[in-house]
Amino acid sequence: MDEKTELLPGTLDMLVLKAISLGPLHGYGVLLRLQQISGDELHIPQGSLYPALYRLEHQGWIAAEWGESENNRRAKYYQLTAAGRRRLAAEMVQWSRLSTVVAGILAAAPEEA
Amino acid sequence: MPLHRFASLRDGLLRRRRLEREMDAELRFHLERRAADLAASGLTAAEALRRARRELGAVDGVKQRCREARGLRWADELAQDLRYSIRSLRLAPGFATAAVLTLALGIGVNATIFSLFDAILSRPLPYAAPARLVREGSYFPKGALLVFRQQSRALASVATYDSGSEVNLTEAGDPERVAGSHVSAELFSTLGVPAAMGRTFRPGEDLAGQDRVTVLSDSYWRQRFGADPGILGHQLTLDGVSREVVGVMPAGFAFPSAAARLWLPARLDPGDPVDLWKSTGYGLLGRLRDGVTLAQAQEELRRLIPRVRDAFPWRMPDEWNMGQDNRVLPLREWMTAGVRPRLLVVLGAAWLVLLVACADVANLLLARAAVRQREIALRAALGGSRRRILKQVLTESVVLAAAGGIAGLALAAVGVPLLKSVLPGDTPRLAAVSLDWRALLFAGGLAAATGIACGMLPALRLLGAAGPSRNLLPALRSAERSAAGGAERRRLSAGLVVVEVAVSVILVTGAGLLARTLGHLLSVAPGFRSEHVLTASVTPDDARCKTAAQCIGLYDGLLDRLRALPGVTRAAAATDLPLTGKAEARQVAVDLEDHPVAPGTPAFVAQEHDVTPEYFATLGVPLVAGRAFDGSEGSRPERVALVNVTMAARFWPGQSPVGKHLRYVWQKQWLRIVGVVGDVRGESLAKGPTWDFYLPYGQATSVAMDVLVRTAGDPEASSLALQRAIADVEPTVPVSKVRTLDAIVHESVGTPRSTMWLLATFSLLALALSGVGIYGVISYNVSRRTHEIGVRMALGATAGQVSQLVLGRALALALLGATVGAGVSLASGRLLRGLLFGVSASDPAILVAASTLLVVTALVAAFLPARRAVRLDPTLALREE
Repeated sequence: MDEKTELLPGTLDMLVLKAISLGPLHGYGVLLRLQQISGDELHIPQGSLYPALYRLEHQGWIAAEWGESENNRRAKYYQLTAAGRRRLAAEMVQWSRLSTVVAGILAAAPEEA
Repeated sequence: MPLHRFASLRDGLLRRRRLEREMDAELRFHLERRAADLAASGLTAAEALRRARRELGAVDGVKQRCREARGLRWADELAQDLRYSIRSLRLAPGFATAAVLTLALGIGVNATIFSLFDAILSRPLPYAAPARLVREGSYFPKGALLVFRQQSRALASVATYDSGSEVNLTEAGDPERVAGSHVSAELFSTLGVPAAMGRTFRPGEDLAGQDRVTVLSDSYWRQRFGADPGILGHQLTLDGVSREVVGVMPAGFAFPSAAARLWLPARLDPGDPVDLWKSTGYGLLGRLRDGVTLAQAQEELRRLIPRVRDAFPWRMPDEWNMGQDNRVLPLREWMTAGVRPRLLVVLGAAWLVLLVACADVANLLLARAAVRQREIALRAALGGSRRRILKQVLTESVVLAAAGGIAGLALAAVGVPLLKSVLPGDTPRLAAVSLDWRALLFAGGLAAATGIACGMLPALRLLGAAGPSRNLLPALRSAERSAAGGAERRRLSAGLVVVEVAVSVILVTGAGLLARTLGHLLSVAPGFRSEHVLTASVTPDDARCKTAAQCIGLYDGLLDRLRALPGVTRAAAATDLPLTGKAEARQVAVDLEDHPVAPGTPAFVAQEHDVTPEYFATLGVPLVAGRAFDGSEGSRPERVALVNVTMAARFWPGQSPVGKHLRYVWQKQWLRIVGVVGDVRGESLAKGPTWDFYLPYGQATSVAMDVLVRTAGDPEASSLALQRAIADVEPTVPVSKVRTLDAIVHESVGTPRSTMWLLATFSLLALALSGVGIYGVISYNVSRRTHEIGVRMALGATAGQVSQLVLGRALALALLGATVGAGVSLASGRLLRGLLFGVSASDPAILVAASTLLVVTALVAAFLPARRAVRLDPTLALREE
């Protein structure tokens, strides 16, 4: 098996939100899209995907609707709500702040004595 | 909780099946798609499906985490706990039945008493802004209203009413005596209650000449007039006066009491001072002006009393001007002042019953917990969290309590009507007592609280046994009888039994004290012989008794007819009979020879009774000195009176009162005292004799009289003959309240009797519950010591020694409990003092009797386990491990 990058704890929800923000998706579609965007570099834990979807739905950030899939099967499609959009924006701001700070710390050079 | 989350939770709970189905479909779709994609990349179908499954992980685990994500975990656990509790309770039917019944008793008793308490003492009165309604002082003549109307600034409106009077209704059909109330015109507007039909009284309709109107109660309108919608404008002949029905009050309007069936204007005639000021049975009802406090109203009342006194056409008797009675009280407080202390005692007793029931159930749960200790320990070892186990144990007791609560409510549904029938009919607001949603809420709360309280103890103990360090091995290993936890449990459960016994002693002592009170009351010598006497109220209209001669003729004829009845030995008439509550209203202010009263000081107040000559002989009241009435007084000019022993001794000690004089303060003419008769307890058996004087019927005439006959046989048997005889002579005169004097005496102690029965019932319940508690503890004790008992028997212990061993334990617990209970009874005895008569709250005989009763109960309860111990087969017992 190829070595894939492990997901940071707590980031799955944000990634799922982002994937759905690009257009309505069913659960398996979320997996495919995340793999596709990441160039299949990221290991997405499939067992955690569905609890994450249910959690996001319970929070009111995504809404689910049954519809036809590409090969005419019934599937549950998720779609971002207005609250979900706001949430995603907030998470992205926070993420970029965090990564800047972390990157800054990691880039620190030893001070000249 | 935000709306969408609530909706999500609701969907999760209510559309559970759909949620599960969708979850299945979604995961299946995932697996199929994943397998298809993997197959497309070259795997075999079977291999692809396996791989897809492995990637997703255990489907059940995923589903559980999805459910948790929807906030459904607690609901799942709750359902699981409930199912588990019900299943395990069904496996222990004896335990479950005992616990539910015990709780049902405790909760049922409390829900019943709560209904009573709530309806009588806590609910607001059914009037507009009832908190602003006050009762001014105790009783006044109706003339006092004129002073208050004119001079009160604290009251926005003020009205007067008599606390209950009766009038004759002579209409088509039999003449009827109807209870009603005379009220001033502003009574209804002060209460803020409009008529349901028609109108109430208008201002001025209480003035002489404008008062030919009446208002009916809803119940009387329905019962007597068949709810006739055309009743308004109808003329009714009340006490011989024709009055127009102007209104019907709404159902449930019961002022001043539920007895009132119609209302008449209280005639206020400034030109008739005697009528305005002589009667004393009127109350003043006020509505506080906005912003006026009770204290300010009280201050004003204190200032107005002297004005009322000045307005009197004669000197005001002292009972009305001694500030003490004259407090301004919220109307509700005034109405319920009489029953409040009694109700509080009963409420307290009901709580004590609940306490015993709770201790019993806690003990049952403890015993059960001991049995289940291993099971619980096992569950803990298998990874059940403490919180989860605690919740499970609590769920079981809440399930028990819920069942107990429902059974308790069923009990209360029987108890409330029963209680209403036991309580004296004049208990204020009794009609409003019912088992309503408040009682439901109360019982529910009580069930939840008892469930948690009773369950907490064993639950905490169980977890305690499992150890704070989560070291579960000792608990797992511990057989019931080896662990240190066992000793602790036994101490706890013994403590609970001691509490039960102590509380029972308190209740039994209370019931005993009240029983002694009742016994003392009934053994008081009332001053008359009540057996073989039949009485009835005869109430002619004023028109039938226009002149004194007419009235005298009526009663002479009536009494002659009654004397002629078979079995009747004597017949008499009087304005009032002892113990009927009429005595207080017979108070008049008098001047007495040798006792001049300085101007400005209060007059003496005595009770006047007008009687026919045979009255004393019929009642069996002895003549102590002088002569009795002979029946010829009516034709003689000199006016005479008799006084009772107490009055004679108070005013003419050491000399004969015969030949002395007394008079009403508003009259010039003196009455000569011709004799002294024995004391009669007129107001109540508990109250010592008052100052009484008697006037001969003929010189003093009253229209309405009570007749009484002494019979040779059972007086009850003459009841019909008496009514028929009166109807023969006077067909238009209503006869009411036909009852024996024994019944009157019996009824006069109705209130202490009902309190006594309530407490006796509660004591019995507590006693039974304690018995069960003791039985449980001793039984457990025996089974725990089976091995030890076997050893003792094998070593030659006799049956007597073995049963001594068992009974000794019960005795020790009972004695400890009895001592504690007796101590608490002694310390809290003053709470009962107001309800007692002739017995001290710390009566040693009753304390000893109550304690003995409990000890005997304990021994009886321990008898079965003791017998079981004695019959143990030593060889089997020794093998027990």
